Amino acid sequence: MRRLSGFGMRDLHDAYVIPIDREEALRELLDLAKISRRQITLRGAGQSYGDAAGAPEGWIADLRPMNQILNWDQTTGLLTAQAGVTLATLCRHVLADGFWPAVVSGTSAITLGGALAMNIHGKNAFREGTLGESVTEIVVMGSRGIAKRLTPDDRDFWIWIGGAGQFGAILQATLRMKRLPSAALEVRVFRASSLQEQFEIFERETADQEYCVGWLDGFASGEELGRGLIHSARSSETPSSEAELRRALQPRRSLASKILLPERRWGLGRMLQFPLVRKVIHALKSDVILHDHFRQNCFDFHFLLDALPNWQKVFSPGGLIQFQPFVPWDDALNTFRTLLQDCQDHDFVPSLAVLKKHRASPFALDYAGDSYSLALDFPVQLHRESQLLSFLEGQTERLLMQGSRFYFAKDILLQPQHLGMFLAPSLLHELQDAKSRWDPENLFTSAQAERMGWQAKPNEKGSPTAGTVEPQDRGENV
Amino acid sequence: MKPLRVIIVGGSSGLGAELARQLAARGDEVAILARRADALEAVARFQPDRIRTYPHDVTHTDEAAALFEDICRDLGGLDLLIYAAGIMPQIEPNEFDTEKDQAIFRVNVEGAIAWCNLAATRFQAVGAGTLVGIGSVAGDRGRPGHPAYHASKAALATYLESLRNRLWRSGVRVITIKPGPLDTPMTQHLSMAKMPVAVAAKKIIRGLNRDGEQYLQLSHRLIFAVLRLLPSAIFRRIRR
Repeated sequence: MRRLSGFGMRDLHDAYVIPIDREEALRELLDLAKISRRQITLRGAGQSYGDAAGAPEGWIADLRPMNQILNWDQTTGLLTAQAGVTLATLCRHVLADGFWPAVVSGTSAITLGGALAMNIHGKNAFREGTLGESVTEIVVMGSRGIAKRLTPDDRDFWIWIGGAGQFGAILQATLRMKRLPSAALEVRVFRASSLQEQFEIFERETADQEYCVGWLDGFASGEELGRGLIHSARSSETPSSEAELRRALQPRRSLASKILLPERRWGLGRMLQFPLVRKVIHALKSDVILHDHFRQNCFDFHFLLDALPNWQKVFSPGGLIQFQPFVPWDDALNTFRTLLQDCQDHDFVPSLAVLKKHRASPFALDYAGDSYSLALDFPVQLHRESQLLSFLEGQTERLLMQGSRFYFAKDILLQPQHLGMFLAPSLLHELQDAKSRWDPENLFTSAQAERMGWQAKPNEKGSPTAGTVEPQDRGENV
Repeated sequence: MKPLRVIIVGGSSGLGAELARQLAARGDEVAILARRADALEAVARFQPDRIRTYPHDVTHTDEAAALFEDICRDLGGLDLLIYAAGIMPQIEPNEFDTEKDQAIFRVNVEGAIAWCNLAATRFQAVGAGTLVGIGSVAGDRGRPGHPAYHASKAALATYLESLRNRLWRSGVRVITIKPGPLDTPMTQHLSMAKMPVAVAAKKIIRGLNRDGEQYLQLSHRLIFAVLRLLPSAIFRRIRR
């Protein structure tokens, strides 16, 4: 038994953690769960912000021990790895040969299985979509314990990726890596004096750059509402020196970060809990640009906050909520303006506000569509916790009504009635059908799935047994 | 403050029942265990949405593990376990009844060990939790009235001290409560001044964030500090 939580440290709970180091171990666990009438929650590195990989008192299948890179072919750029391999390991493995994943998230601590279960996106979401789009094959296991191979030709491939582990476990995946001319990116920095300008720069930069991300000052108000910095980047054509490659492959914490955020005590870092301190930092960030153009290795660019391991602990004991609505392109500017204003009006100023642009991806659970997203980090002050939650619940309802979507890796608020607000009825039916085929006994669950009421469709007698479709016919046995 | 998830073993009457009522009243989720289902239900009626009942005989230690797991699942976790089960049958001055004495040990010691070990295993694994054993000042010295009862409370106190010294690095709190005589069904046959259980429960709840042995009255702490130092030859001459 271990005490767990999501990355946001909000859902502290105890659960039985069972390490899974091979397919057979998962099969045995499934059999035991059936006999004991227990359910299983799949977990990788536990980097989802909320309760997506948690289950109070539940059985947690920890897939991190399945961490082998099974094949790497430089000629094709195809890499096959088990679910427990971290993005950091994967990136280092291919970067040495001049490759990089098509899509990476803001942290390299996640596992491949978790990344595909959530179908992560990165700073190039407007161009490359989600990680799932670079996958050529996955091997999965539903509740019957049979490993199946799925490719993009199988409809279930598009359902499993992004399915939040509700159909079963993704055991391994093959991904197409992209070749890099160097291990560095040429980064351009722009200052936007308003939200309007943020969007103008975004539109311009996303037209020809590979990556683009906006860092907003949540404290700026009035005409400056939404001001901040925008970083856009593209791979450098100038090959990396050995020193640069070495630095990319062996990232080290900077001296400044060691002093400001010593790992165990988080001394000065805790000052970030005070809004005034955050206000000064945002003001400095927005007003003082040291360089408007610089070269940065890809680890430092993509995984900026990994330089401060466990930085979220700065916000303990209340923890952190990340609220990230995905709003259709045309509505985003006005919607985010209202959202930022509402945050200020209610005195809930986010410690971090990150703007990204997305395009639709072909997965069943496409949480983005053609959208902009604004990820707002809210440190939770215990004495205002319930007000913050009710504020965010209100925003969720409002945004859903206006056509926004939400991302399961960040979500802590969605309720059963909300799924139908951003998933078409036919799609909900298809997901339920897939759940009934792959997990007829409802073995796979999570606190998030329970909250959202996501389970296999009961048969006529009311027990959640197999649906009408032949079970697990799709895909090839492994 | 977040509501605590609490198991009270021996929660159908006396101090255990009062603790259940007071914890539930402040919003905690409480599971109470005892042999008599009807008595448990009577306690739960006070706040049925926060008090769950589990009929269980603590002398059936082989049933404890499965029940413990079920209760934790029902509560959604566990923050606090209170072992309040205890018996003190009336013993005549010239009575030496092995069966009675063994029964005392089965409830007061073996049951406590079974439940506290389960909680200790869990709390150590997750690095948090509070374990409370209801001991007694009777465990501080061997007085003539109830030899096995005194010995059982001494055993419980030593066992809890040992757990405390084992678990303190893990962030687990182990508390031994040493009440004096309380006004409970167990002490009905004793004629002496007794503390109302409502007062005792309140003091215990207030002290949940303090580790170690806790007397509920300052006078008891002082008196027993002295009594513990007295040689037996003198102690046996003190009239009680």
